[in-house]
Amino acid sequence: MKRLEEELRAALKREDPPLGFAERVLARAAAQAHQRERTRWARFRDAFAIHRLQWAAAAVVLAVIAGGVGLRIEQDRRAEGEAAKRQVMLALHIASAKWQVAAREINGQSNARTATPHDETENHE
Amino acid sequence: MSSSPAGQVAEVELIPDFASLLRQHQRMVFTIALHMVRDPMAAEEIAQDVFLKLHQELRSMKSSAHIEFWLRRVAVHRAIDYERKHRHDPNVALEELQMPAKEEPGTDPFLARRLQALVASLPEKARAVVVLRYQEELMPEEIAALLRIPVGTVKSHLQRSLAMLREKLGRTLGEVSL
Repeated sequence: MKRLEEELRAALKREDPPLGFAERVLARAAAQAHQRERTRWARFRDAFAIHRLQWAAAAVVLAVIAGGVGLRIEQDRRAEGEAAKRQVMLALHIASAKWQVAAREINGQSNARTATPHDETENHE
Repeated sequence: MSSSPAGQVAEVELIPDFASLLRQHQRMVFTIALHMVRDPMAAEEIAQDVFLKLHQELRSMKSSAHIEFWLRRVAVHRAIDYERKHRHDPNVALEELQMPAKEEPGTDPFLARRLQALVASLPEKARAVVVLRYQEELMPEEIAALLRIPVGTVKSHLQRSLAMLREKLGRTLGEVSL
C-alpha cells in the first residue's frame, strides 16, 4: 500500500502550466475588469434610455400631484382667511351695535338731566 | 484563542495582489485541473476560469489560507463541470495522455503515465479525492471540508480507489507488486 501511495504522489505531482499562462490570465482579467466597468455604465444608461417614457410619465404624475397639493393648500389658506374676515366683521357688527346702544343710553340720560331744572321752576310757580 | 497582540496581528493578514496570487498558485490549480480532465488545453481553460473568478471575488477573501482552500475547491468543481459537459470515455488510452513536461529522476515514467490513466478512469468524486490526497497532500478531514462530504465517505473513496488501482495496475503490468 505504501509503495502504491508513493507512486501515486510521484505520478500526480504538480506540473507547470503552459508558457505564458499567467500573462494570458492577467490580460483576460484586465479585459474583464474593463468590460465590467463598461457594462455597469451601459446598464445605467440603458435603464434610463429604455424607460424614458416611464420616467416622463412619472414626472408628469409627480407634477400633477404636487400641483394638486399646492392648490389644496392655497384653497385652505383662502378659506381660513375668509373665515377670519367673517369673524372680524361679526365682531365689528357686535361692537357697533353695543356702541349704538350705549350712545342712546348716554343721550337719553343727558336729555333727562337738561329737562329736570325747567320742571322745578314750573313746580315753584 | 489568540488573545495576545501577536496573535491579533497575525489575524489581520494582508492578502497579496492578484498577480502574486496567480504566480503562487498557478501550478496547483493547473495540475488539479489536468489530473481531473486529462487534457492540457482544457486544464488551462479551467485554470484560467478559476483565476478569473478569483479576480472577481478577491475582495471577499479573508486570508491566504482561505484563498488556497477556495482555489482548490473551485478548480475541482470546475473540472467536474467540464467533465460532465464534455463527457467521454473515462477509460483513457495511454496514447491519449500527455507525457509529463519533465521526468523526475528515479521515477518510472511508464508507471506514472499508467497511474495517471487509471486515476483518470475513476469516478469524478473518487478522482477528486485521490488528486487532493496525493497531489495536494491533504488529510481526509481537509478533503471532506473542501468537497463538502463526510470524512467517512472520503476514507471509503480512498480505500476503494487504492484497491482498484492496485488491482488494475497488477492486471496491466503483471509482475508489479504494489
